[in-house]
Amino acid sequence: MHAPNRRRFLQWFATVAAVPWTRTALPALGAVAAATAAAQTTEEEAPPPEVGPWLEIVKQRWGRTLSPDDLKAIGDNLAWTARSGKTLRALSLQNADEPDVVFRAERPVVEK
Amino acid sequence: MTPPSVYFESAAALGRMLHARRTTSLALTRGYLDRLRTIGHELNAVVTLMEDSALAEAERADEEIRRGRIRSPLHGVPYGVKDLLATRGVPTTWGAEPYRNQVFDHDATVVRRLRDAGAVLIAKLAMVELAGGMGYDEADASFTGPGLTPWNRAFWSGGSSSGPGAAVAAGLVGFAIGSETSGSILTPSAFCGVTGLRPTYGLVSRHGAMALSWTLDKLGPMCRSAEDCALVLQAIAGRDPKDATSVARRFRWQRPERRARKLRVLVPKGCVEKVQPEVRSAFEASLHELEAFATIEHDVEWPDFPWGPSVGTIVDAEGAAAFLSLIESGDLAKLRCPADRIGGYSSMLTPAVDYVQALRVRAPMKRAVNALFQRCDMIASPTRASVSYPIDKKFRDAYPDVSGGPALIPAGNLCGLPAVCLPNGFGQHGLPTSLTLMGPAFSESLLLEAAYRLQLVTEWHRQQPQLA
Repeated sequence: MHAPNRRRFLQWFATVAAVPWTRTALPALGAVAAATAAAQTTEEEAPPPEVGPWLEIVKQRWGRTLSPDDLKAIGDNLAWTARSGKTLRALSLQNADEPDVVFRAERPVVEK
Repeated sequence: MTPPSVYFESAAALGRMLHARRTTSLALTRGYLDRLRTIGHELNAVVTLMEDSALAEAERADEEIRRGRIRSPLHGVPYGVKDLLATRGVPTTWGAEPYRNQVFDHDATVVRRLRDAGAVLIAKLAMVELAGGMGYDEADASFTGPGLTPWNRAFWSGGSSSGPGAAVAAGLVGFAIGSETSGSILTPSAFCGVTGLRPTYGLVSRHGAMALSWTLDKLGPMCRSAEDCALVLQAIAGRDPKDATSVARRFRWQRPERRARKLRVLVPKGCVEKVQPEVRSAFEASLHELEAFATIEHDVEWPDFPWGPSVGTIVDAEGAAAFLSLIESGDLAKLRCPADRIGGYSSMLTPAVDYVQALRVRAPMKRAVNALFQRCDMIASPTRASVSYPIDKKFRDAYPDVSGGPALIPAGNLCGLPAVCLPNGFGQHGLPTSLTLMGPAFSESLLLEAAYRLQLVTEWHRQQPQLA
């Protein structure tokens, strides 16, 4: 089976091709720029160390239906996941920076 | 006999013809159904024709119009929806083989609101399987086959709203409803040469729509003019108790009058340097047209954030949760595109902390982009860096040297911002090019005004593909 690299494709398709992370930071966002620069990689770079264990989980859970080519493609995807995570975890966010999703408690609706 | 040119009229014009009783909804509906049956299937744009219910709705519309009860400017106008919107008793396939026989017992809120406005639903239109959430990388990614743009059938109609784009461009419906998580209205609109509107997140209820990413998904119109997008938005916008993210705002369209002040438009640095030459020249011509009613500031630095990793991580995590049962069942293997058959497995391992980080950074992203909007009304850019991709190549192999610069589509979606795109010329292989105008949240009126003004002085949106 053909083995595309899903995450790199997602990134590429969203931004229209080859230089998706051109970095020209606003002064106030320098920390963000540094963080994103850390995620810029080349095709030849070795996969991040977590990819091996993650791929083992994939094999354990769903491996009976996956070919070696499938597993290679999933490994490429997982490398993207690891590198993106590194970028996101390097962001300079403060303790008070909440996820931009608001949870609300609600009083029970009284049935009349 | 309805002349073929009528099928390419704007929805607004069709509404005027209907309400002046120069045609009937029944005649238009029959004609569009015929075109969907023939041209629509050739373009792989159709999933299900709703012939019986459409003819009944059309007869009802004609009767109400005869009695002088005009529900809205869209009353009697036939339309189609991307096949991720629930329609009671009719299959809603999400473009994917495992859901081919899925039938809901309710209508999506958008479908209900358009029915209330008197529009006539005639077809469920093709889409990329699961709206592209599993990572497709080629045009052939739906059980209906690769969507084809009517401008050149060797090329893709765009995704994931592939059917709405092709159907509107080919005069197969009066207008259509698409959806966007990150680019799925803008891209097919650009590749098919139609006018598309991505509304502000929350302005249009998503109740009854397939969920791919709860914090990114939006529904919006794909039409043959900016005014049509406005009329459709007017019908579908507003709070819906069935969608907690929907907001208590309505949208009202009025044709703009003479402007008291010029609009302020920014052009991000790097957005044309590596696009196709025809895309660039069309964009520059659009800026020239904009200057009649806007001041343009060039080479503006776009805020520096990990737009790609953020949107990718969010789509991965939310998409894996939304399709958890599909992934766990092994039925991913039934999807059409090889990349889609394995994409969900890696998404399942997205670390929770990374997902939450991506949600956390959206607040500073919004602040940075809103700071830009302190000094402008909207951002202008080419919608895509290239014309459509050939259907016989992987996307990444189509135009490897082309780039659009700043990640405006992910940025706009991560910040929940509205954008309108409109055709602005033709490029390689006779394929359309497109301009996007993106504004701050709930700036649809201004965006559509600008697009409307451009379409008053240009003819790109009136061009018709040769379909013989």
